Amino acid sequence: MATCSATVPDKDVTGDNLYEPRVTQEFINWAWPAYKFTKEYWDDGFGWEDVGNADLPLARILNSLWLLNYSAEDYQNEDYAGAALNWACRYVRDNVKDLRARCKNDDYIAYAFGDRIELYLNCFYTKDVPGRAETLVHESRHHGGRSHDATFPEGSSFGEGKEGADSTWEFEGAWMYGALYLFWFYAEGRRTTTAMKASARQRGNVVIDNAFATHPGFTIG
Amino acid sequence: MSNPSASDSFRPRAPSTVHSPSAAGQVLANLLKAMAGAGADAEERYASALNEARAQAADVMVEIARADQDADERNYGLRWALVYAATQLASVESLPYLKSVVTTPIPPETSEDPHEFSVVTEETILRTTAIDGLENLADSGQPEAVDILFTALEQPSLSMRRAAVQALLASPDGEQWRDRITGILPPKQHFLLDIRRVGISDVPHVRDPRVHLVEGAGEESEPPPLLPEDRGSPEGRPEGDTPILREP
Repeated sequence: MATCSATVPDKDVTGDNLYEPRVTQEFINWAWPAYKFTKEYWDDGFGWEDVGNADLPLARILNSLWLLNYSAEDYQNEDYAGAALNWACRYVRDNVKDLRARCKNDDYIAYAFGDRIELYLNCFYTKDVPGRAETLVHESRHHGGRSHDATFPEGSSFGEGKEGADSTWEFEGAWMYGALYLFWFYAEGRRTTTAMKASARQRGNVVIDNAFATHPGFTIG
Repeated sequence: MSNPSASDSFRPRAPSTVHSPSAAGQVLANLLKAMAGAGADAEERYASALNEARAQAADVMVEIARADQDADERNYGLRWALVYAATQLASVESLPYLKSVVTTPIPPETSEDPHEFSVVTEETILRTTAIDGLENLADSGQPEAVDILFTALEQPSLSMRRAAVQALLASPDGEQWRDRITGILPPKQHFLLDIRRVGISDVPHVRDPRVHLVEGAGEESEPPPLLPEDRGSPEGRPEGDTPILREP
């Protein structure tokens, strides 16, 4: 067992003050079992005791789950044949078997292994609300059976030559899933702000440039 | 005897906020708040806050630069919001700051596994956002913005170069600069001239997400409850160890 702490960034700029009031008890009642939370990994200060407090990890990830589930205009349509903006929430739900918060006070954001996805302090406190949603989509894609298959390209911000890239967009790996979600959120996201969407576009385009061994040849504009 | 806990414990440190006592500092704080606003009148409030900031762009830019300087370097949410606010001013007053963002070298990576958290990636996002702002200024006929975009081409970052290429080519005189851009970029990166900006309908989608699901997935997957505005009364009740919201 580890004990950790983090400074809470401005909750206006991360979007937490926008989303936190929307997380109702009804949403929590549904999301808690749907996303496989268990009290043991979300108490002891992580937020189970104070679920409406967006200073704490649980409320912050619930904000991102709210975004993931309600950003499509027709949010109850989760057809896998449709837009990623609609089905990404279902994809995460279908792939996550055990969602845990952990300290891991280093460079990790999240990790998918075994039956579980672990989320670390960098996920809760260096990412904005859409960025955390992207992390959930990315890690769920790993759970869905795709590891990274390439090294980062020349000049990549993720470290040229290091493992962890996807070979191509068509490989349909975790980077593609995450970027695709961000692009949809930018283009068609509802119940959010222009700034949140602009942030998603910038992040998605930087992923496109740096996380594929072969550049997909486009950016979202 | 109880089992030892396998879980961790967490204590938050005090939230960080932007606060400057000056009038322009208050205008900036209002703008940042309005950028994150919700509700039926959110756009109106944002437009009002932006107009107020534009009316005193020089002073607001001083506050933006100061807040950026004072921000914890890993407070990327705040730092991004400040760069974005500067781009939204759409003012020549933002040029020195945007130039500074673009020309400040990206610090070395501190992460041992940048695939996870990457300082270089976060810093890159700040700079591509600034380049977007410069594009708008170049588009409105500011020659200095064009000069800074050419400077951005000389930075080692692939994304900065890509964003600068797109910004220059999208400007009114863009095509006339194609040869000059080609001359600046190393030959291996001439492909950046061919990166297309597309709309979401032109982005290749996942062929069939159902083939990438864990075994047994989706058997009990129900969509989220209707939003309150889409339905009358709430449904469902907390079960098991579901946490309970405190009464406001």
